[in-house]
Amino acid sequence: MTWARLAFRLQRSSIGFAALVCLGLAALGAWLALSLPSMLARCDVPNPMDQCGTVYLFGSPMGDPALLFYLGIGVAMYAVPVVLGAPVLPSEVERRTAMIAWPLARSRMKWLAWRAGSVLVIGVVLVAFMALAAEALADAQDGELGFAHHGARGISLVTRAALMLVVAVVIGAVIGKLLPSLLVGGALALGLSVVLQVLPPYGVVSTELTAAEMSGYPFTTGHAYRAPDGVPIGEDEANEISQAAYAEYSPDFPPDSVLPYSVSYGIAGSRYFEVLARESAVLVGATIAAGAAAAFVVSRRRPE
Amino acid sequence: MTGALTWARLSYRQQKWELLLVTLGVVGVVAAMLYFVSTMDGMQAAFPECLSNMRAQMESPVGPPLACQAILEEWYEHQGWTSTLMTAARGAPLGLGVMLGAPLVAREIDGRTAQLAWSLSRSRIGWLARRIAFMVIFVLALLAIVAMAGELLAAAIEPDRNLAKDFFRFGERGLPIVARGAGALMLGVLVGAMIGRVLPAVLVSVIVIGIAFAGLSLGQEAWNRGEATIQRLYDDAGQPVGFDYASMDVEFGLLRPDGSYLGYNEAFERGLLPEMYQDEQGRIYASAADMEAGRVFGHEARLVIEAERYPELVLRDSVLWVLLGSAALGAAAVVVARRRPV
Repeated sequence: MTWARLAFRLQRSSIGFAALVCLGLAALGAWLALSLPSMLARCDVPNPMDQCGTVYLFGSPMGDPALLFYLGIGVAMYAVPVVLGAPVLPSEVERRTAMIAWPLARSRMKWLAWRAGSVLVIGVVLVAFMALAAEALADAQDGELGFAHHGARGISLVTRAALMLVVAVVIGAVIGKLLPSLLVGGALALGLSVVLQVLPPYGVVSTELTAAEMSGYPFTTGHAYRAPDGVPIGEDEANEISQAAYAEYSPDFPPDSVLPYSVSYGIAGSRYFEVLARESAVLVGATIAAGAAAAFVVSRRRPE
Repeated sequence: MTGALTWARLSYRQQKWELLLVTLGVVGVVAAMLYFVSTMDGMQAAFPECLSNMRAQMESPVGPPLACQAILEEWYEHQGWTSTLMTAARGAPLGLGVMLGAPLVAREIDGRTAQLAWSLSRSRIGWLARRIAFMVIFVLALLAIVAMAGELLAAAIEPDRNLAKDFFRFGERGLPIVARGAGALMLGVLVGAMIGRVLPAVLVSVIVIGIAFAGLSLGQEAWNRGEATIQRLYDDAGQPVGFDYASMDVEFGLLRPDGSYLGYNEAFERGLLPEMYQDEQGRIYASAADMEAGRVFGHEARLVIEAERYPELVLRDSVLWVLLGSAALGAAAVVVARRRPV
């Protein structure tokens, strides 16, 4: 507890900022999740995905608050870890207290373990509140979630944030200055968010999705076209067939039986947990590797 | 002159890494913008039959030629990237205000050098002015480059439009970028002077500058609403009126038969339009029965600020941010003059 209290005192402002952002977003998400059933009850519709007339006119039953919530989640899941992780080492180095702190802790590894470990625990707990609220909101919108809002709810959000926090610790350890660490951390957060969009589905094999699977929030990996008789064709050929059909039947619409159709490939929503388990293993492994890198840097760098 | 250069060198040395990293970021964004300007201008020149007057092609019954599909797909892919860059241009002034403004005074106090620096200087206000001057010149120069690149990129995205009188990407090109940067920088300086610790000042300035941006945006939206004019989407004969893309959309709604305007948001919130049916002439009905009986609820319309007023709104936005920045600067001077140096 002494170490945790000390860690909090050393980073009061960043922990306070993280708590404000995470708990604020969690409260907003919880309020939206609790409000949704009553809002939809006014439309007298049991299933949130049914048309609710004008409530859905602009694409969301909750309008701006829901959009702001997801936008906030998308920024906070990287910004909060950077703000928590980047100052861990620079705050000691810039104030020249590392020269005292490291010898007092008997070993630099022990110092890093409690210093970064305390911040990691606090950060993960705060982000978990956000993740739970996002999960509850997504669940309130539709019970069968599949890959909907993947990376912005539940375990996937927490593992991303934990990885970003430890990477921010590494950046701070390497650079040793607070503001440059924040700037570089921000840039790396952008890069990490792009990489994490590209990595899925982590080796899980894609299959052709059925119509039922398409409505269950699958993870799509590609599209293809088939001629009216089911033969696979390219996009250009599909466009040619469509234009010819429209020209032939104009001004009426041609029947579906003479038009090419598209098929999607991907992972069905029912297999979400398979991808989630693989992703969690990869991200936890990357987090451990980043932690090892942080330990290496701290063990070798000068304390000033 | 020598004194000014000394102060500039000192200011540079104290924030060297932030200045270098920020410059690197801006150079990267501007380079990307100019790359897309060159690429999209090149595509326009090479494929005029596909890319000239695209909007008319899309709105025509037959659509664009089949041979243009690949060109158009590449064009829209580039547009996706340019949208990201323009959004970065919108955020640049606020980011610079946080990263360069907040530590300006806070670092001196946090590092316990303010006592010496303020004593060595003839007056604290003079010290503050010299410290800020270099940063203002630096920030405004960087943002001017971003602003100009934004104008070039917008012109490359929409070559058929006169952007001098067009609200396309308002706030992401031109003068507003520079003015907002000046205002955000001063707000950051004020927050840093009040808090006196670098990291807390940076974090609080994110919130303060964010609130200032939201407040001025909402305030101007309300101002625009009061000055907006009604534009129908269909005329009395039921023919679509040419959509004026250059105007600023304030709100979409309905022109009631009595001549009053009703926004969609207000209509839904007050329960005036529980259902909505629309015919091909843009007439809105409150129910299927009303539609059959011909009881028109309203005609599709929107509130707009005409494109001709673009220079006026650019100036207004810029003046508001400069005024806010000036007020923040004045407050920062008072804080620096009165606060303890630790």
